[in-house]
Amino acid sequence: MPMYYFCLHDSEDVVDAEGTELPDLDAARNHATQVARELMFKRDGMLERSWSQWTMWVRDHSGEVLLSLQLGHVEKDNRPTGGDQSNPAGTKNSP
Amino acid sequence: MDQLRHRENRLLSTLSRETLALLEPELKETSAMQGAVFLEPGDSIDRVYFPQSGMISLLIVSREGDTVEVSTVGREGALGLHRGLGGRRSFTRATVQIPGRFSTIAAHAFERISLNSASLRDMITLYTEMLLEEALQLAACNAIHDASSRLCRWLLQCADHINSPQLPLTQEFLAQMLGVRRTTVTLLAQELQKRGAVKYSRGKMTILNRKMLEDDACECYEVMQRQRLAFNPGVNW
Repeated sequence: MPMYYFCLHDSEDVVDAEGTELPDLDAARNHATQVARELMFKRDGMLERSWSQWTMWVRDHSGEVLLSLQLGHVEKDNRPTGGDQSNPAGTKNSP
Repeated sequence: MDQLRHRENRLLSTLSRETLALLEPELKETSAMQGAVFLEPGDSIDRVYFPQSGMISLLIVSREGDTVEVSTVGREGALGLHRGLGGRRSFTRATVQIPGRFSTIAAHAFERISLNSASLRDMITLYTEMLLEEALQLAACNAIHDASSRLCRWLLQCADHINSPQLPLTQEFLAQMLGVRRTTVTLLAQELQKRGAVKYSRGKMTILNRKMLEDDACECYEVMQRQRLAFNPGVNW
């Protein structure tokens, strides 16, 4: 399975150097959305900048940006989360 | 063996010399590596463990095999203590998260001695009540607090458990503790590192600025610390 790296980008970068193995780009998009929700849960921003200023870049092993996700556009989910519920049945990956 | 080693465990250290002397002939010492499993859910508890160092995680295992940490036991506590009140089964997996040394006693011996010692039974009851209070606080915390402030709380609590700012914790484990994806922990740890609160290098998190973590941690850190202090004030049981 390919590795995907999920980094946050604003005037400075918050880097995911570890990466996550996922089956394909759809799974990476879903993972990015879930991570964004976990980060944004009950919180207004990061490093003193609001979420609308942050973009999540999904890169492949060579560093190429495959996807970008503007956190300001991710629907916030302030219900409690927990465990690994990647891709629950019926979830659509694209808007 | 003299009582000193056993008193490295703060629960045992609160016992009077006479009460500890009742346990002493049965107490053994053992050490365990990271990943050692002391109990699986449903196991009958056959030994009680009092950490002198290191940390044990209590994990709930879902039907799909996902695990989430629900409590930790360090030198301030014990694993399986309520077994002193009679036959009990574990409803969590108990696994060694940070290697250490443990004072340990066979469950039947612990039960027999507890039956004859009111002060030991008091300790068991009070400690079990404190665990319940913590579990209630944690249930609320998971529902209402953000992942970053929960991460800060966990790091402080782990540091308190093992009495060191150097925490040999992987990001996978931290993700399990918080019930979030590993990527989320990586990004939050990066953020804390950028702010100078921690330093993370493969498999090891070091607290550089405790005050900053205390300011960022949710109120649950203070509440749970107060419960522990109230329980463990060095009273002479």
